[in-house]
Amino acid sequence: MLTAIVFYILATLCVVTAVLTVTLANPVTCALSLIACLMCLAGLFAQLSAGYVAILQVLVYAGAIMVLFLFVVMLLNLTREEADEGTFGTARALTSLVCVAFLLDLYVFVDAAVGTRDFTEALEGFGSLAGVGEALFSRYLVPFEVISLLLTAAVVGVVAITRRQLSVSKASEPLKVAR
Amino acid sequence: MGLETLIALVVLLPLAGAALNGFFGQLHGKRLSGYLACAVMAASFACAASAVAGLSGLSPASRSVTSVLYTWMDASSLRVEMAFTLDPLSGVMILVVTGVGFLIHVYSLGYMAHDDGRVRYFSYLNLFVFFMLVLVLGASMPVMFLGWEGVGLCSYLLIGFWFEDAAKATAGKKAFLTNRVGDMFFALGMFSLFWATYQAGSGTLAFAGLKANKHLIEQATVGAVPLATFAALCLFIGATGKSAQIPLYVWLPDAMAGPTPVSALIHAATMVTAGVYMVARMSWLYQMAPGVMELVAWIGALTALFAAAIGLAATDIKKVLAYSTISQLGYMFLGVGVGGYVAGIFHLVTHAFFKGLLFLGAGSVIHGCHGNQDIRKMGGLKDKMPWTFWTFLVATWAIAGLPPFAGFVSKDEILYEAYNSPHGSLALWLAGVVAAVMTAFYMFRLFTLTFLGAPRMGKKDFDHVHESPAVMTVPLAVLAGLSAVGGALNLPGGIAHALHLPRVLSDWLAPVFPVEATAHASNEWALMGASVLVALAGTLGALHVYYRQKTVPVADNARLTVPVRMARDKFYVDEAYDILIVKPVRGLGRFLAGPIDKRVIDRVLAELPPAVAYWLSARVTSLQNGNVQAYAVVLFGGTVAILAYLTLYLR
Amino acid sequence: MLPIVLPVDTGDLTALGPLLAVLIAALGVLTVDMTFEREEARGRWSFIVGLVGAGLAAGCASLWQWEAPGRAILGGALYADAFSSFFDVLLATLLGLTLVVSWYCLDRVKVKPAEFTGLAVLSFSGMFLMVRAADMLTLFLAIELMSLPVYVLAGLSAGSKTGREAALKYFVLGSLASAILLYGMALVYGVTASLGYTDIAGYLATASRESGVENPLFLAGLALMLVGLGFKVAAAPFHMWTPDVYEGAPTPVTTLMASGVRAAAAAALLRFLAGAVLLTRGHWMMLVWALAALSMIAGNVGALAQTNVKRLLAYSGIAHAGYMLLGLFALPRGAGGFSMYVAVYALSVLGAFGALQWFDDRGRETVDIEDLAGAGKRHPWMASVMTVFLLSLAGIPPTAGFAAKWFVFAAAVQAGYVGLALLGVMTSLFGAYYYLRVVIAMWMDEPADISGADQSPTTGLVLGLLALAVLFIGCFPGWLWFLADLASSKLV
Repeated sequence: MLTAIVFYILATLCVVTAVLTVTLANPVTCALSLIACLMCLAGLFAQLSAGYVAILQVLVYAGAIMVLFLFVVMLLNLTREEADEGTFGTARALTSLVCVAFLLDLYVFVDAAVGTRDFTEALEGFGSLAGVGEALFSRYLVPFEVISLLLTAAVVGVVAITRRQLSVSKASEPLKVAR
Repeated sequence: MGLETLIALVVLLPLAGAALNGFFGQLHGKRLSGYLACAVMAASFACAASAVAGLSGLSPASRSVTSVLYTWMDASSLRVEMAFTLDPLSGVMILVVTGVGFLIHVYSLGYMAHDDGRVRYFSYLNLFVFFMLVLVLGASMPVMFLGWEGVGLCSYLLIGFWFEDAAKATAGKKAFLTNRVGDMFFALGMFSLFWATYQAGSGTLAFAGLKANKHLIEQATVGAVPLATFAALCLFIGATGKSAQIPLYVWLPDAMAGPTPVSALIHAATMVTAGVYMVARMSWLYQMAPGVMELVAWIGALTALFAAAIGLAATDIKKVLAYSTISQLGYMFLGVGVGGYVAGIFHLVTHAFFKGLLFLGAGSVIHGCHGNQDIRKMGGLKDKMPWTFWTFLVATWAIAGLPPFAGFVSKDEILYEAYNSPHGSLALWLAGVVAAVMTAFYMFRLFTLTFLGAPRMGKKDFDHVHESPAVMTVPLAVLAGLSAVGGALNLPGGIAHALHLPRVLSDWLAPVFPVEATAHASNEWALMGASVLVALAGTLGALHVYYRQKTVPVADNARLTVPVRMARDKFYVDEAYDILIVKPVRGLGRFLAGPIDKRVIDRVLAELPPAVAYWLSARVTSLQNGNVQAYAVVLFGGTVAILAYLTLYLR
Repeated sequence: MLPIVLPVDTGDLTALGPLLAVLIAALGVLTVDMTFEREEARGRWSFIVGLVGAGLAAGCASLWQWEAPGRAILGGALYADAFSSFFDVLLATLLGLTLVVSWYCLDRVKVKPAEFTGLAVLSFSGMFLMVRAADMLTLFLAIELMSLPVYVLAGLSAGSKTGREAALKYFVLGSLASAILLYGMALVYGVTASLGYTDIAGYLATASRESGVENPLFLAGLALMLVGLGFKVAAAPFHMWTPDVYEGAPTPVTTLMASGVRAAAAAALLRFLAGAVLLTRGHWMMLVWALAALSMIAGNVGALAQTNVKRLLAYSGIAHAGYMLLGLFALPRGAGGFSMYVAVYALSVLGAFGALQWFDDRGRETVDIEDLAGAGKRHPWMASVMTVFLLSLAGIPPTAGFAAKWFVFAAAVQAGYVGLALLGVMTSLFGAYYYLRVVIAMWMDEPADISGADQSPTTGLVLGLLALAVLFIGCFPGWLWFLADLASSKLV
């Protein structure tokens, strides 16, 4: 009973903060609500007794990545968006419609599945430090190595882009950091 | 050499010529390229002749030799071999293609003597002959389709060879578009035939295999329509595209933009007859679909009439010949449509002789007149160009249907079949006869205006008119000889009977076509007499108007009567096509392509309020149009649709 | 404490040869980039290293015992089988050709050769991974490894706004598609509790219909994965990005996107469908049916009104995705037609874009049909080569495109999908209109301008050889079909 209550609180918070992330006008508040959302997700993981994943969620997303986001926001000195509040055009209506339809679709599938079908039980130690570590370094060693390649590719890409931007700006005018 | 090797050589020699000229033409020079092209054609003709001779040595029942080069495509139960079949029908065709083709190659030596693009020209010409031979010798429908597409391609390339003005480019496009419609139906027909046999467990597309399985095709249906009818109809629509019949004939007159020998080879003697050949090849299928046969006959008859009517008023020497070709092709379809397959093929052969000759003669005239094609500005060329004059006269005589030349014999046979065959009728015969009057009239009109009377060009120009060199006149003479005596190939039944002579072509082709011999009718002589009379009437009428009264067609609208003006303007068919089909199709394309990335997205979805647009352009200048969101919505929409579709499968 | 044992033997390393060759080449190019001071030397050496890598990869792939039964290696993360080898050879060829045909054009579009080569080879290493991925995790990472460099490449042209816009669009939409793909994978994993294709297939075979093949969550996951992979092969209705991105990106990058990326994505799609979820084909074939039909219609109709050649080829690529999908109906017997179509399409479209780059001597990102007018008069050889590629794309005999279409249509007919095959025949014949519009413009229209920029004879020679190969495959498709069929029949 208690688990259910906690789950519903976390889930609701998760959805609400996610919606806030995309609707709020101030970039900093957006980022903060994203942090809240990720925290709630971590809570959900913890509830599933995947403690290690929960901690990773907090460390990596809420910690590292969000700090990066906030840095970028502040570096670019972003303020309130000159937002388009109060306008609800055809495009938005359609977009909302599609999103609602997507959710409905998924609901239909979940509704049809849950309670009527058998699902495979999670393995012992699933989501724990030992479980994740073992999977990562034995069965999934190749994907793990591929991630390092992926990171290399990302770094190379970023360098290529910035080098290009720098050379272009140098050629034309002195680089301005902030507006 | 075995027959199989000979058959392969017939096809491959022109290909080798095309390759040699295409790849190494610049090395061995312009002069040699022409001789090389002619040499391979001569060799190919020699091989074809000996192959046919070899075939005639076999017993009539076993006259079908297949030469398999290799397996082209093999998808388990659907196997296509690159194979060529020589049987009496394809034998006749390869003799025409290589024989007339050789003469036209020789003629081109003179005609193209001063052209810079000679190497490419001869390369294309050889390539065309190769594809044409693949078309007629192909042992299965895909191989025929290979030739079918190939000749189309070569013909666009050759039409566009001398692109000097926009008209030629338009001509190429028109030829391409109309042929595309035809090809689509050809493929559809092929597909349906395969499907019929495949369903019964013996999928094939080889002509022999299809014919052997014709009971399966007879039983199959497409909806409520018998499959045989459906397939025959599709194939016939394909044929109307390639053979320029109503409603897809509009491209042929425009295709005259190419060099004249090309018109002679492609647009008179060979490629345009491919449709007739195909209907004859599939005659067993058409026998199962009498309704379609009737349609073929009527389309043929109407085209013959309609095109002849336009020919009456045309003033460009090549345009007259083009409409005349359409009209004569109509005759051929009339022939095969009433079940007179031999008559249709016979007319195809004689037409290749005299129409090839007419085009070459016209080329000689244009060559001599320094590019002038308007017959209103010719006249009096008789003494300046004696060879051209006499050979042209023979050809005109033949096409007008005056005895005893080839055109008379073959046309008479078609009219005879149109009247007497079980599929024929009085109305079809009448249409043919009226077209015959018009044919004789416009041909002698053309002849008179070009060669007789007083010259209507400037004195200086007239003095410069000269006869073409021997390399051009000799092929004319050979074709003239063939046009004169070609009728002997298949003498009218009555005459052959009376003189105890064989009907060579009928006997030769007998094993190929369904046996549905038209009874030897007593009205033969009467019909023949009628043919002669109408041909004479047309001839004398034209001579009277244009030779005696010295009438010259006028250009300004005011002095033309309405029917003549309509005929001159080709009954406004091109304009109607433009309005009814070309524009709507383009519009549809624009409409359908537009909405996908412009209309729906830009207007409906991305018609974001100005504030949003401002926001977008202000923030991310590189993302000015904000379409990304719309694209994402469509992506999601597709996902939603797929999921919704799957929910139907949930239990 | 479990011992960490990675089952590696030397045989596995042989099988990994092509992948390793390209990986080492990718790292080699990066090293070159850091070693040389001068831009020119960097470009030249990275190009050479890239080409050597492609050559080695092709060599290693052809050494593989094609007849040997396939097996999973490295703890079940990758496959070593004839299918990988087939696509290794194809991808190595595409990599080599992409580098060669783009080489002389990079300056014109203001992309630095070293950067292009480095990112292209990295992207190809992702593709080599993709075609041999044996579990969903490796597949996802491989897709990302392939895509990331392409996102960057699309926007790499200096000072090109359209390029940056294309890159951003591609990135945003690609990320969305990846998210959908990942969601689908999660659902499939949730039901089957396994990531490996073989394990998924095993679960479906043993579980009850209720919990396995017809489990709603599994089906939803499958559909979402189809969306994600469909995005990469640009099948309608997930094609929206193609025209804009193809048009906006520099042509060398478009060449890579149209040939390599799509070939790898198609291979991955086939491997997943045949290797993991073949048992549910009753469900996904209906979806593939819809995608194929939509793609053929949307692509061909959309291409009709295009005046820009890159846009036209983009739309036609959507149609080709549809034809390609027809080959899937041959499953479970082995979709040789599919693999063959992918190979032929990739080679033809690479040739077409390569020739386009050759013509485009001013490095504009957009080339209108009008710009090609009279190309036949100015450059008859290259115009003939371009014509061969366009005819092959249009599926006109005797080019490779006709043979490839023949096999996929045959597959659809033999599986009983006559209506769809018929739609394919009709749309392809009707659709050929727009290809021939380009051909006609080249041969029959008046030259727009006679420009005399130096075009590389080497590139011309390579493209000419490729055109001959396309013709050769059209006349003798048997051997390619044999290889494709051999490779694809072992998937099941």
